[in-house]
Amino acid sequence: MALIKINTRSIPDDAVTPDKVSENHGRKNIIINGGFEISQRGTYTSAASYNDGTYHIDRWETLRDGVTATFQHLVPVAGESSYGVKLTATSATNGTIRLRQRLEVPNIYIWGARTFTLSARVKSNSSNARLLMYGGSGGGYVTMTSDSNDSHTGGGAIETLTATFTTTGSVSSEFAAFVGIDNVRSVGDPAISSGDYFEVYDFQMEEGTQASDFENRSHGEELSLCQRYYQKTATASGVVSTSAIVYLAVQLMTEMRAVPSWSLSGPMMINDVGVNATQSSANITAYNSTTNGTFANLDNFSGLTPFRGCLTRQAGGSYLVADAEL
Amino acid sequence: MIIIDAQYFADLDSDDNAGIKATIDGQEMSVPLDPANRHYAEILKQVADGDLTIADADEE
Repeated sequence: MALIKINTRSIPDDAVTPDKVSENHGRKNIIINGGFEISQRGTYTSAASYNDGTYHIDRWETLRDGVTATFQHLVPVAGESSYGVKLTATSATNGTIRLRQRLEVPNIYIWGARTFTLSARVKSNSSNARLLMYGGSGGGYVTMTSDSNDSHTGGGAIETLTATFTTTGSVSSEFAAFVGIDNVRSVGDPAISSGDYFEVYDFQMEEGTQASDFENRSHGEELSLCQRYYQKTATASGVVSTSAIVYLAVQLMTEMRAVPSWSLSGPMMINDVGVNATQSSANITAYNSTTNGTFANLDNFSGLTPFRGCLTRQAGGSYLVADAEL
Repeated sequence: MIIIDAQYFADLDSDDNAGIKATIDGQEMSVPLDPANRHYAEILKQVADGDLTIADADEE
């Protein structure tokens, strides 16, 4: 059998391309939930109007300026195997419709002056659908390198957009990646017609000058990353204080970014061994909260027996919600 | 962020403020006094802008 000796000198320079040799291998996507798979807040598979600055899909803030618009979570279907998000304008004027993910500055700051590349698969009927980045040194929208392919043709097909930029050693307090219908560096507002839309899949931000294949993390890992910013639980235990009030100890599953705000997503049920007490307008007051959990007071119940142990039971898909989003 | 009905609540063991109860974008929330919390930061901003007043805590 003849053997062929191979060394690097036998590989032509132009045979080594970014597509064949990725700059980063694993743990490369700085964006969390870039695959749009995690949606702890609810189900949004039907298009519905949204307000500016609201969260639907984990870690992605929906923005609109000037126009009204709808939000829709796209789930995998035949011919499109990825989760995605679609924003559609429902009125016409100069404005923007965008998704934003704010990044934790401490995670980025320690990297200093570095070059990053954004990429996403985008479908749109607008040539103003593009990728943007906010927050270079001194703030403002970042200028992308001249060879970036950061805007859609508006032809209605899926296109891969890429945008490369370099930080200058520090970033402003807000450091955020965007995709949406907007002008270059968000200077002025483009004209938007009712029905203008964009869909986005596989959003990635990685170090380097090349966009590599999207990093698919496991559902559990992505969920844990999201829970640093938002999480919910139906499980807590404690003691009955009065017939109307219970004290609960709530342990968070992942340490959160900051001490969270607490709320209830719907009717709560408390079991004190003797009764199940359900209250549709229960209140939560969180004392001594930390990034790991809280001591919570739930009130407005009736019929509970003081000094009994108690626990929450899920009623109608309701949760105790902790929100520490940026 | 639309914030209404903001009121401090006191710690269980003292008269010190422990947090703020408020309705934020239609959702009643218990907000910690943590400047890194976006709801608390927005409450402080709206108070500074004169757009929001935080009521004192109820006396126990």
